[in-house]
Amino acid sequence: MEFRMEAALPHPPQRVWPVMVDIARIASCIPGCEQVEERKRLADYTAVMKQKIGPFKLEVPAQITVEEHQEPNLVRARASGRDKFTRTTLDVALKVTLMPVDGGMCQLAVEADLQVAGRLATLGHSVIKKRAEENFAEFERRFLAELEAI
Amino acid sequence: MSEASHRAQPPRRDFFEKVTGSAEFISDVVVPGMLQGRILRSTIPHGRIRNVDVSAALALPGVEAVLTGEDIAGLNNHWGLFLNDRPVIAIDRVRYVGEPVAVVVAVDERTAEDALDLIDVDYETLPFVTDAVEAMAEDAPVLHEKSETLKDFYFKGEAKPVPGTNIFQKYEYAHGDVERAFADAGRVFEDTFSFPMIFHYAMEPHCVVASFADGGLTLWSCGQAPTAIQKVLSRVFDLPLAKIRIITPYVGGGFGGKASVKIDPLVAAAAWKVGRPVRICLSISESMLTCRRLSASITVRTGVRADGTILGKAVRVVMNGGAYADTGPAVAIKAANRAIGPYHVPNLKLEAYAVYTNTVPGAAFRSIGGPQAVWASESQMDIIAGALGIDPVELRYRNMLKPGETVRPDLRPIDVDMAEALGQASQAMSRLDAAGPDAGLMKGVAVGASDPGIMAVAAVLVRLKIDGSVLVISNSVEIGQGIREVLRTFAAELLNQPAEAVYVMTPDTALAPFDWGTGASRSSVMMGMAIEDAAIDIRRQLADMAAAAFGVAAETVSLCPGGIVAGDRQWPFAELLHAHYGIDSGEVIGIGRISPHSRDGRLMQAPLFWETAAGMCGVELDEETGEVRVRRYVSVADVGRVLNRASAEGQDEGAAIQGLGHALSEELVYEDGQPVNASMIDYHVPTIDEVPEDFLTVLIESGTGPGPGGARGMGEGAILPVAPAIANALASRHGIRIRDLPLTPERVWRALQEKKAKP
Repeated sequence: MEFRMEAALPHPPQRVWPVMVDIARIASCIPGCEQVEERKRLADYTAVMKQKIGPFKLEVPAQITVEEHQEPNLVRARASGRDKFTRTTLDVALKVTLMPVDGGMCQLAVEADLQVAGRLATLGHSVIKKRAEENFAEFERRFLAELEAI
Repeated sequence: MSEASHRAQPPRRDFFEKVTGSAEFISDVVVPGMLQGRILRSTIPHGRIRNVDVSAALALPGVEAVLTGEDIAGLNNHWGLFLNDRPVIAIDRVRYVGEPVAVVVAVDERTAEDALDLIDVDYETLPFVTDAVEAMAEDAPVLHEKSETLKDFYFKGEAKPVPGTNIFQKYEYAHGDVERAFADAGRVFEDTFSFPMIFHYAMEPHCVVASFADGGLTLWSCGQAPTAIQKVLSRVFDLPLAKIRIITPYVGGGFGGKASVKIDPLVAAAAWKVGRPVRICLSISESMLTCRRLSASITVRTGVRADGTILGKAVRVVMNGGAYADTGPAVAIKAANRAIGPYHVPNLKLEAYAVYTNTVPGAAFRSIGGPQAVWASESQMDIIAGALGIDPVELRYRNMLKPGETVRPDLRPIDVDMAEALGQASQAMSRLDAAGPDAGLMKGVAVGASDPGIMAVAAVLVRLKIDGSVLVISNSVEIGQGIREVLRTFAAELLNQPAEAVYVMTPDTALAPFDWGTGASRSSVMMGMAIEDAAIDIRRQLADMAAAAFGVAAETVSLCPGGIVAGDRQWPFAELLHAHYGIDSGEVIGIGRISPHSRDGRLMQAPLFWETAAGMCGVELDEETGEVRVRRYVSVADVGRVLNRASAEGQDEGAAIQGLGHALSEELVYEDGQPVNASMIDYHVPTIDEVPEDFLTVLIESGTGPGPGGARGMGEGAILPVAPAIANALASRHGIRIRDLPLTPERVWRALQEKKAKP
């Protein structure tokens, strides 16, 4: 299942980048993202994602590996985990880009390829996609608030 | 028209049991000491099983055992109908989401279900493919590295897999010279159509109870082919056929989803592992992960003269057979045959493939391959008619076979008058239009001809008791179609006894003689013929007894209600049997056996009879939403002879409405290897709101079938014309030609927009 979500941010990439890689700050922007640990900066992370989707309450301990980064424009990462309750497995390949746009702003683009296996998959992709889009909208709101402080 | 169909018929005996709730279905069966099983299924489309940790599940109070692939190493652990490709339970690899990986056996279903969440399966994922055309590509992941074909195992013949590929059946046929015909033809039309995976959606999901005892195995199964189940289990567990007993209570619908063999080996393996009887009753969602109709991509090339005469036809069928072949090889052949249509095609080329993919295994489904094929060929007939400016009905008449002409020279000549059926459909629609005129309805038509894959192997026991009651014992499964009533009707008629005196036993392989199975519209005809022979056997025995006891000439003896008659004398059965046996007890057992050699070998040629249908619809379209409503529908079938009017019409209507679901809404959807709508909420079958207000079934009683009184099989044909008839109706008014099913509002709306954009 592939997604692409975009947001316009009011700063150039160079100013957004430090917030994006400040793991405590970025984690606070992601709905349901808890217990984030940085094992190795810009390389290895763990986190627990908590979500309620349809009738399912998910709690997914996830391994996050940064596969590539180009400061201040690109992060390519892979995250995978298995829900404790439904044993749904989630695998996501992420590409996050920050591209400069006129007027000292930038465009954030998140491309994700998500593989869901297990009970959650039976809900159908539209349900999962809708939740992902809701989460991104919430992320965008929180991230913009975070950026206002810089 | 037969006299019997005009006799006042008593209501079907199973109706009373069903409406009062006394009818026993498999899920009602309770065996002493029985445990309950639940199945853990693969969550990934393709992968290796590295490890299955069942320790936490086993520790749960109430859990008695967990069956996994490790346990079946000592069994003949693969089975199949054409290819020995399916493990009883996943051993080291899974090939589709939903494949059984573990079975928890517990004191109750709830405990078993809870324990499923405690099983930890470690998978190594493999590349997967869910689309048949992609699965045929050179770089596609191969699902089965080796193939072991089973010749004459279930159907006659064997599959022809292509080694090293996902193709598990490749079928080719030709007569004449199709390329030359295309060169000679004024026009050659080439069109490709797609048909989705469709779930059977029987009201009763799959349910089996298995019990090992006394060195044998007894199964209470929902299977449509008890003797096929018996055969497969005999091989898996290395048990003599005589020690395997399959009992088949009432089945709550099957439509092919319970044909051949499905969950029986798995449930038996669970019972074998735990050493106690085990019951497994699936949910509907699990049945959706058990089998489905093969989806298809069908390309039809047809060369015609300017007057519409068909000179040649080439059909290429690619079917998505899912993770295991099941009866897919036969489905592919039938799809090719059923794409020909009831037309004169002097030059013909057929090519059909069935392909493994990482999806739920394909299976038989009401008229195997038929709706897929007829969707393509009958849609194209209207495309040709439109292009040549010929009325679609007229185009069909111009090419239609007359009775006695051949579809293929190697098949039995067509034994029905299709022109009459089409004429009857037009007349019936005119009657509906006259009764409730509605000029707004678009009309569409389609016909279908199918060659039922009937194995002429059947037998029956008929036991005439001293009190005149009769017990019919066979392995024909009552699946809702009314076979028990048919057996009762035939036995009563052929023995000249009142129907009230005839009883039909629940199928039990330990008592009933071998029968191929219940499917392919065969049971009324095959069992009817077997009862004919059993009745002759009984009459002969009674005549011999009467000759000895009463000194009458044996050839003058015939049966009358409650006894025999010879000349002007009459004796009740009791008096005859008392005289014969010396005590006031006893019975006469008649055996009827049918083989390809019966009836002087006339049953040898395939098909035993043609099953055909003509359908005509009156359709309404909401142009704003794309929603299609079928307001009127006429279904015509030559059934040879109507044995029970309500049941026959019910079968025909049921098939047509099932076809309506195929046409308008049904489709099992895969995304990323996952079936995403395999539930009753997300998968839509027609409700009573969508059924046409005016629905007319016309049953032609030509009396030309091979069964008693000219009966032929029925109940499958009516599913064939529905989808193309509706699509043809849309094309006739709006000029939109949709080549992919289902005709969802979105698909129809998009076609309308496209048409408006470039008219």
